[in-house]
Amino acid sequence: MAQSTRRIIIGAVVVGILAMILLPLLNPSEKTPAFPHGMLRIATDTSYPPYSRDVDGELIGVDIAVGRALGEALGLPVQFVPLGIDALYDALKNDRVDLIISALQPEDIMRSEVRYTLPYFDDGLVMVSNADMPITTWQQLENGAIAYEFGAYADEIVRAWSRRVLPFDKMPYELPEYALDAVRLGLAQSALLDMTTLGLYRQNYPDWAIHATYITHKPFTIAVRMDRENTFIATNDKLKELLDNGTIARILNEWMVYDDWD
Amino acid sequence: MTILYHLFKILAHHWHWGIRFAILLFLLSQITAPRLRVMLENPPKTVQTTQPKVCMHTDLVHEPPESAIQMSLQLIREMGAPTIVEFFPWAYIERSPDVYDWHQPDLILKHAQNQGVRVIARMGFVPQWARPKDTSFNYIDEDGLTHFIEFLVDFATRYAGRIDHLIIWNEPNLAFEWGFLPTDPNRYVDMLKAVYEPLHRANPTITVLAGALAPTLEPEGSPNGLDDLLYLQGMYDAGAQNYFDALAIHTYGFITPPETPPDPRLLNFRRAELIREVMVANGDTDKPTFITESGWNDNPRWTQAVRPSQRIAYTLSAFRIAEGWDWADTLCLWIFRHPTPRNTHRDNFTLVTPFFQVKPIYYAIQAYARGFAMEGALWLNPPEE
Repeated sequence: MAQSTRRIIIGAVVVGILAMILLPLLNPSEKTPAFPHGMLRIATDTSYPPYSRDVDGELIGVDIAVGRALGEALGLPVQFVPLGIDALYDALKNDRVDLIISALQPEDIMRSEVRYTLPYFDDGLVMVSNADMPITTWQQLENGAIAYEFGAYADEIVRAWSRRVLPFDKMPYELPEYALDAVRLGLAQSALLDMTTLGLYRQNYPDWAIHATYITHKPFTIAVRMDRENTFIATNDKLKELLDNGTIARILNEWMVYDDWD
Repeated sequence: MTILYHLFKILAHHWHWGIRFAILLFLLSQITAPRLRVMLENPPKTVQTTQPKVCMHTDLVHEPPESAIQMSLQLIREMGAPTIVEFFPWAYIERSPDVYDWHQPDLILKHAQNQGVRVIARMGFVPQWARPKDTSFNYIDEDGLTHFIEFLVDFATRYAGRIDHLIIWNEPNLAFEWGFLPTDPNRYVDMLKAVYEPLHRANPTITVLAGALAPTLEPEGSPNGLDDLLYLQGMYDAGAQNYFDALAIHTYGFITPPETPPDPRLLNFRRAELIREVMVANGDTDKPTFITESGWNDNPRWTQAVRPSQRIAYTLSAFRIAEGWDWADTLCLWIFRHPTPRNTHRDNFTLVTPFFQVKPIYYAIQAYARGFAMEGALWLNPPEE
């Protein structure tokens, strides 16, 4: 190999190594503070109790409490920006807010534009049974009965099961609370409904001993703009702290009876 | 490396074999997996219905496979709905200036015709190249409007005779739908004035639909939008009357039954009657309307939703009320199906899941539209303590 060629190759390698070291230092995301406005601006849809609700001008709910706890952990004042659900992502993209906290499930089509934190709640469907006769899989429903709300998502799941498993009775009710009544009163072995409805119902029956198994998952997460890496890291880290130290569980239990069934 | 070296050495010495080898490689590269063939109905179908106002807003533009477009339209035909409203986003079709991708609209039209379903087209969604940086898809300025007119004319010309109803923009009385600018009926009427004549020249039988206003009570000066009744009057004050052939109406039931009387301070299904009153008061007595969005939502948490059982009952009652509205050509429900889960309360407006599981409300509407009898109770009585 000619000496000049060797010099070119060595030069290219040196430039490459220097670029790898120096470029991250020039990355604008590294220089941008996590919360450049000096506050935590949070978009929320206030039409979604018990997560976010506007009661005579006062915002209340799980998401509001999570937002305030995050602000406290980050040492920042919190400003909530109430928006309709259609406007949440646009507000984030147009830098009107730093975060969306709004019973938000990750959307695949948004993943190129936003990052989602780890979930702080799972509102998936749960199969509920009495604690002394736990039903943990749908195969255990053979010759039993499952109660659910007519026309709801649980109805779709039960109709799908009815085409593929051994015989069981379907018990549709007009309201999901009736489905839980049916289990509590021993009319059905199991009920299928969302975790929030279960948590709200149990406020009225705190002594009812149950077993619950997640059948589907519906994680609630916080959305941050894709190009705000520092914002994402700071938010995700603090949210993890709040989950680990029990703050999130305490917040959930203020609004419903919550157990970590995982 | 040694094998490659020898291969190239052989090919260099036997160049004619090299050419043959290249041709073989090219031919092999053209072999692809066979495509799923979608067979058209032969002869084409027609919609059997006793209720011609039944209509669905669809989301076919986001369907990746052709078979899903066909299956959706088959279900709509079998439900007894002779009309759909479909969104044809400008940004999807003209991705760069004068470069058009008509593939998806062509597919939708092909299968709609094959199933005997009429298509009303909703137009809007500004491509990035036609608006300033950092603006939303709903932002349109003077330059953008010039390009929009050209696109609309191309669209109307291409589909003349197959799509004869065009809705100009969506819910311009909401700031979000107006590019986060203050809503202004004058500017929307400027748009109508600019597009009306070119569209009629492109397709003399076209019906230009205006409005599609969002039901809202936002007062004058609100940053979020403007009350639809006030906005519509503002449109007439700005001289809109001669620049649209029909009015598109959005009227949702939210949490009230459809029979609830209309009230300017209330958002409910019969608010459509108040919209109609504004038209009559401004001399548009004979101008038709198309209710292009309506319905109830059955999300368990959303404050503007009802229970699934209520949703069915309210929807059927709404269709019966609309039977008596001789000024309304259609009552379209939002929305038939989304191709993928939206993971929000939007999923609770649908009649069919992304996995093509048909919800009970579909069967209830089908029974109404086709004149089928529904027998037996749909749910059990509440358990007694």
